[in-house]
Amino acid sequence: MLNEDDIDTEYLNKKAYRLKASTVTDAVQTYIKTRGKEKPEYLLNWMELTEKLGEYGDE
Amino acid sequence: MEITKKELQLFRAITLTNPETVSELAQTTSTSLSYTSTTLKKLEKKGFITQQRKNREKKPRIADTLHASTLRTLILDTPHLNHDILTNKGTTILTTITCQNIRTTEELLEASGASYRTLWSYMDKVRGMGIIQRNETITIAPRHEKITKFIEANQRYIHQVEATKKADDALVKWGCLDTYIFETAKTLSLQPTGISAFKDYGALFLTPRNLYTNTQEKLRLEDHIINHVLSEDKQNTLPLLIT
Repeated sequence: MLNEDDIDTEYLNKKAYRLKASTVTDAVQTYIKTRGKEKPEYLLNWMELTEKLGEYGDE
Repeated sequence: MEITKKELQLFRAITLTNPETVSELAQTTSTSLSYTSTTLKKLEKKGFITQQRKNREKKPRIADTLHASTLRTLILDTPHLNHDILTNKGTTILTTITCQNIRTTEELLEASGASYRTLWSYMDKVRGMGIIQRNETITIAPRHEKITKFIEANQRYIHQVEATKKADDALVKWGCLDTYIFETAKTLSLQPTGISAFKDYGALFLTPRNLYTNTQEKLRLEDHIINHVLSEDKQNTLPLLIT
């Protein structure tokens, strides 16, 4: 199961900024805020995260 | 892959004088024929030029690669610029600034691998020429976007050549300095990354091609998430998740 604790957001944000991929920060934060309360299965959580990454990646 | 001053001198001469033969180029640049031939071979290997045999001689010409054409355009459009700033360690420093958000000279020193003395002297020169600007991060000034285009194309070419050695169908999706990410339909003994690595965290996505990185460093989940974003095309559709 993928919990918000599984993602080291400090490391993620720092590295994403350095590599000019800061949209990942917003995507993951949005994911964490909205994640799986109604659909707790990890597969669906992954799908949601990937969707968020896709949305932010398009900007 | 850095370009040397001598290589740039010959590339510039080919751009400006369109020589018919290597001998003519050697004469134009006041360089010995053997040194000219050796340097042209290096330029050819780096994808900047091609050499067409013409009777008993060869005719050097600019290659049909993006980095060669952007360098040609840069030389033609900025005749008064000292293009030597693109050579040797300058290539690496400009590449670092282009592909990373660098805030301080210390960060640039660490990321580029340049010596303090080289970096200090180089930055002093390019700042004086108005090529580099420093706001929140150190960047190439927008009015010198042709330099940025050349640096990006040069880096992309190097990564693509390296990736093709690992898989002949490799397509580089992103790269910065020594690290790049590429996709291939083949299964390689390299480190999967991005969506191809998500299976290690409990999510198997069905993708037609595998995503790999050339780095030996063991990547974390956060790295794979970042690499997924870096490798995404704008038109990418959501991959199928196996349930």
